[in-house]
Amino acid sequence: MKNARFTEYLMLELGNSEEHPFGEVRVSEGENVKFAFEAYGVSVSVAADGADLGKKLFEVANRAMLGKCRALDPSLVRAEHGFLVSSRKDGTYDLTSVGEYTTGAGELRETLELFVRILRIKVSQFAKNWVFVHAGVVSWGGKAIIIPGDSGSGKTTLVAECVKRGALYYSDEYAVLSPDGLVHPFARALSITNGGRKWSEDGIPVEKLGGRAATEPIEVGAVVLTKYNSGARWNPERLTPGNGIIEVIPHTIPMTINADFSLQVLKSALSRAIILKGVRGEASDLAIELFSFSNKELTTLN
Amino acid sequence: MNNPQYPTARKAGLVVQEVPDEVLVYDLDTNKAHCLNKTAAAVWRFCDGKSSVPEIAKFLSSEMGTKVDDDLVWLAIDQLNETSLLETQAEPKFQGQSRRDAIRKIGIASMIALPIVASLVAPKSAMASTSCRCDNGTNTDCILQGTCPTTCNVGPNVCV
Repeated sequence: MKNARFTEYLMLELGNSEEHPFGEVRVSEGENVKFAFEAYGVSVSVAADGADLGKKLFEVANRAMLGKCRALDPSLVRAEHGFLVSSRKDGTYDLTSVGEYTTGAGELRETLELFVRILRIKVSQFAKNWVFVHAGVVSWGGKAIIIPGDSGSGKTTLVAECVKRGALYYSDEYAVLSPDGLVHPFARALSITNGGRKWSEDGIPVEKLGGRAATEPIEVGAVVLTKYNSGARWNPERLTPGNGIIEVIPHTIPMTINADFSLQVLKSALSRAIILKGVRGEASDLAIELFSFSNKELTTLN
Repeated sequence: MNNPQYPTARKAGLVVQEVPDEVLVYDLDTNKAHCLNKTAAAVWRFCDGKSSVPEIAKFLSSEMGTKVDDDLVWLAIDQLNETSLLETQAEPKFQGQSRRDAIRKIGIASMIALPIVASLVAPKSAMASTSCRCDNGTNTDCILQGTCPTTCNVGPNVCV
């Protein structure tokens, strides 16, 4: 499939494309394909040496962005972020994040996975009009509970326990905040493995845990800053809004890129939330505590 | 203007947001976030480079409706100084035991909250945006969890 046809295919697949104000573009030659898309306001172009490869790249990108990729015409776009993916004769692939780095000699699956991971970083850093916070999010009683956390802090485990007990699932990875302070669903499959190395997009759909994914944005009711500590009892300290917000800042992805906007949005989202900080024991115990707390405290927040 | 006897609040390179009874400050140079409580925020606001500490104490007394001691202002100035929120660095008035003693003494006598500046460092953006982490012990292996890769895959100390 030639480049033009491939682009056409993407347009049909994704619906209407609009002109994008980034100006002129270089379109790849020969069997190479180039496509461009936008997700959360971030424009991305991808060049690949083969239509099948290009198609796979687009599919995994769109899946990683939960279907929010909108095709752009690569002949009109100079995207903010570019990727090149090329195959070697030995069947491995090189992935270049343009202007940054190239990783080489990966199997297709590894290359696609790495592409998705880097794409997600780019989008979460540079999203326009959105602030991505590293956090798990569920809702209970009509208010969101945000659980910011470093990698390994157990936020996915806690989110999973909450949704098994009836909380509505928003995300195990990002609290996606809009300028009006609402948190939006980023309800990807939960990143839980059953042991062994897995493709990161092969997480567990929330429905398999007996839960439901949210579809609507919601106000933040509480922020829970916690780390697992075996045997610990949940006895949190309640932080002031200001102290709570600075605790969330290290998890706020665009903070060092767009501090002004990020801080405005954090203020808008969190200044009326209850912010709790403390160590926790088992996730199942904390889930029960949180629901009990939410039933008492969050229903009176207006 | 930059005489430490007449402290001046730093403005350049800072993002400031007010929340009820607190002020949030993000330092673009150091990626540090600070939360100033009401008292610290008021002192910071009065650091105009023209007012001495006794004058700031007077302004604060008037604003808070109660007598404020110079030492309470110094407690705030010391913290603002340490967090680089003043234009000119000054010798701290209270350090270590001296500060603890001052806090105890002022705390008992004061009708207003002691000034507090709480601070946290935001990580570099790439670190904040990855859900996986390199093992600091090796700098080549990722911390094994969930669906993270096994080795730092995009360069030294970055797992994505």
